[in-house]
Amino acid sequence: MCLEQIRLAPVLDNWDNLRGAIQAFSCRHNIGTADRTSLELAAEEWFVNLVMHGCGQQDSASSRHVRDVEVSLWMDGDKQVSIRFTDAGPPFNPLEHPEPDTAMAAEDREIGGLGIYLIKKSMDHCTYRRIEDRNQFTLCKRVQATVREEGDEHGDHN
Amino acid sequence: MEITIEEQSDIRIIRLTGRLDGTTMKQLEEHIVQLVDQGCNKFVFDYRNLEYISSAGLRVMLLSVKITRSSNGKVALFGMQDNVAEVFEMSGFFRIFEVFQTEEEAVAYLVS
Repeated sequence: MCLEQIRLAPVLDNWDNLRGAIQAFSCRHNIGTADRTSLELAAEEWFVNLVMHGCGQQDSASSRHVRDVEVSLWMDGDKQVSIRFTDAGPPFNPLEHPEPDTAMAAEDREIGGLGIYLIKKSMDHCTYRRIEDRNQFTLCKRVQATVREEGDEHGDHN
Repeated sequence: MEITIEEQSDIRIIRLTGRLDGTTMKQLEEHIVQLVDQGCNKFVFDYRNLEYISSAGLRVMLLSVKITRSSNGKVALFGMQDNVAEVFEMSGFFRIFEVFQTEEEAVAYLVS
């Protein structure tokens, strides 16, 4: 199992660092653009949620180290990607979060509330555990292994 | 993300290039609020070069449609890429927005 780990302070500007890690991981494992975009979307939604509502909002008495978000990425075989977020924020199980009504008209829609829904829709499955005062949220997606990207020297185009 | 705004009579064409996510949505929100403050309420969003959108981006788009409608304005989109369309689909945003293939169609909808 190939594991990659990154530790980030829960501030919005770190999303670009996490995105860079997901892009590099996707590149190394030949994950295609559509799957990579889904992974980026789910990861962004959860990371931003942690920044806005979770460990990013804890009082300043918490040390930076404790507030950091740990992100691990790995492949299960060559078909599934897992991204696990571990944070020391207050307990929050996103899988119990009520789903928005996506059939509502604009006037009735609330601004917000879609992020967790998009995670569930774009991943194949997610698991949540509260362990040792930490939230552990794992996102899993089956991916198409792309052998080669377009524009390689192999195939006879046209 | 790059945002360019063009005037076409009382319509503002807002061209987006790059990613509309949690780190860039504020930029767009500021432009929209400023335009509305100036009295504009007809917006065409050019999505041809928008590569990615997340719920943070959807939030600004929803804001734009809510504040323009409150003054009888209109919003139209055109040129959406597949992965952006997928996020709109999952979120039910095709029920909220008028989405067109071309700029001409989007502008025609606002003029009508």
